[in-house]
Amino acid sequence: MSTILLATDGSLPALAATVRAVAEAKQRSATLVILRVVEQSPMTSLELASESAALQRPEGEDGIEYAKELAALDRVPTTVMVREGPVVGEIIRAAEETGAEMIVLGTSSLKRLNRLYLGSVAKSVVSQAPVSVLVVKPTKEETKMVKARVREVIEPSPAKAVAAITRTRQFRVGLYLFAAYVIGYSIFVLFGSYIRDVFQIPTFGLNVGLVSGILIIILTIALAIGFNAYAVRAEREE
Amino acid sequence: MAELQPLSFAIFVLITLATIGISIYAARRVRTAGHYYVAGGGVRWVVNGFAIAGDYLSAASFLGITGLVAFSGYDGFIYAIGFLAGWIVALFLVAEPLRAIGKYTFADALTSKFKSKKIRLVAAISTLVISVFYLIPQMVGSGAIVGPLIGLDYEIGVVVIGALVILIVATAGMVSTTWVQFIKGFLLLIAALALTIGVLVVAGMWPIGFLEQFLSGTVNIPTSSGVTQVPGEVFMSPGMKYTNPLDFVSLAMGLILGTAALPHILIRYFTVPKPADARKSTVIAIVVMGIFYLLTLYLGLGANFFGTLDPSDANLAAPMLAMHIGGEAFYAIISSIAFATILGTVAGLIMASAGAIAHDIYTEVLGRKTDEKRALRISKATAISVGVIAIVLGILAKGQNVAFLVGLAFAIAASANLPALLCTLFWKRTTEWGIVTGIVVGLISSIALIVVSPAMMSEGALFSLFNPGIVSIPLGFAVTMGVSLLTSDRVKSEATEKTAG
Repeated sequence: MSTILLATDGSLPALAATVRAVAEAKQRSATLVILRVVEQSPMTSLELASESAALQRPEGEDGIEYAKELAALDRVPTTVMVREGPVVGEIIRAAEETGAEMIVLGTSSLKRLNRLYLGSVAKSVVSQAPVSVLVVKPTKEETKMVKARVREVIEPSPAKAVAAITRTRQFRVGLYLFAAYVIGYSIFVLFGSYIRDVFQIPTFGLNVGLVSGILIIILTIALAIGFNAYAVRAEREE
Repeated sequence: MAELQPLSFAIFVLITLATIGISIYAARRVRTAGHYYVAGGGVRWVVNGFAIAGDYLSAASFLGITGLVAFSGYDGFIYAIGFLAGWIVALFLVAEPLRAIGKYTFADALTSKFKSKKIRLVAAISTLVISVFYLIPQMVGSGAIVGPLIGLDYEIGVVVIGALVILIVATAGMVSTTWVQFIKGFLLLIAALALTIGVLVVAGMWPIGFLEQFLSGTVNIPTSSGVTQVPGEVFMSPGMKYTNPLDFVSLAMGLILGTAALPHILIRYFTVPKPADARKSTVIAIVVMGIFYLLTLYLGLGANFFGTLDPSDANLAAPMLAMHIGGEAFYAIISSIAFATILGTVAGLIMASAGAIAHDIYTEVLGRKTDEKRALRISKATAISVGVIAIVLGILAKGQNVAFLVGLAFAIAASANLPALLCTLFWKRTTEWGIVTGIVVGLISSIALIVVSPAMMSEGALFSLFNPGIVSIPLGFAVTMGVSLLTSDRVKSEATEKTAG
């Protein structure tokens, strides 16, 4: 059975592309592969907001739910892929892996500075793709129609989310390590303030104060690396 | 000092432009690079870890600690230890749970439990205040280095450079600050490493031997009226700056508890997809910073060893050391990296304050949810006004050591934000009023104690400690928990009344 790859990032042009991709898939009775690429660069809220504004991305929408729902209405079978990495590279890779006969994506006309910062994904995909690419540039009417269908995304309860973490074994181990560290640091501070004579005692050619200060820094690094290694293993076991 | 040095200026402009250029290129490349570039995904936490280190290692860490160690010996080193120790709180207590409940800002995390506009408002205000306090030393640092470099007076230097930094951040930087931080984290580590190696090579000593010779000899400390000599073992023990032991305790407490409460650091945790990634980012950051802080000990002692000290401005120790070791070009490179450091930190701080105004106050408290473009415009306006306030205060704080100033921001964060954060995460009986009053009392008490401290009122200070932490942090916790207990009784009795009725 043939497949069509839809790359979506939840922006308005991408949502418009979704409409076309579903129509295309229905006509060819193909499976629709919905691909969402999460970028490698971790962005703060404002970076995200300014990108969203530049790309006209409706808030809280990553495009997957929208595509799934549209496809379900037309009884088009779907698969969802979420990838992390450079956007263009991941789109091409996903197209190769799924043997897609066509890639569908949206593009917006970025202006001035935004073009400089964001560049054009569509342009690069067209030049590197092994198959045909349908680049959707929505008209005003299309944009309006798409906007009308976007819904809010539901979130899990915060108390449950915290409890899911604090109940794990690695978090409790972390608490013990934390307590031990705080005790060590307090002793260090006590010596540094009220029992200063001890810090002047010669040790290893230096004095107690310097040696313990340097040790705290090295211990902090070691503790962080060690705890992470333990937590990663514990997470894998779960 | 105040004349234009063409070579320094050229190098400075080059490095600054390169940093901005590379960060724009890197931000784009992530979107458009071909698939030969990175095979798999999953390195977001590495980028974020470096960005956290970049955010955190401000002018205070580089210029400030170096200067303090050079003049006060061991009492400067305690900053390096405390700045790093604070990350243990972030690693074990805050990173993962915070990622699980927060979305965009510090206030988001606090309101996840109560959906309270009051909490959001005070949390946003506290974010703004802490960010401004943290911005002051960055401005002081920029005035101190850029003045001698381009030949501007301190005040004009602060205004020009401050305006430049804010302009970059407010217009261009919004899309690519993560990459500025990332590059800056790297540059700073390399600069510190190069300087340390330079110190040891020029002095002709091994790392331990270099520390040893300080202990056995006498140490010269230049002052405005000549040179003071102290025995090495006194210089390398606590008590040079913080003669009052309680001052030492207060500072150490503020530093370890402040880190995990700094809003511009906390927002970095919302940028990775999973709680586990928040932890991994923290570990990367701790490794980078731990190495860096060990090096600052050598930088400060190196500056003292070679006598590259200016008694009127301790913040210049690191660049002057570079001048002594590698000549004018090296001096210009180190100054430029220090400037890139300031640029990065200012970017992070402005992000945090603009987020507080645009997201928390405008979008959430005032309820304008639909207008994203306007929210962005407001965030840019916030960036500029916060920057202007910081420039003015930066001029007033001329000559103060930047690590000392940042230590105050830590104490405010620890007093106002940490109790609220920890109680929201771990204490079931916390109430809305507990958090609101805790933040307000922590904020006001720490600032009031700073205003009446010896640093502000040189003689006849009402409060004898330099750092307010030892009073205001316990007070913040006590108020948060005390008010929570009082109000939770009321909530409970109201509930029983209702069931009884």
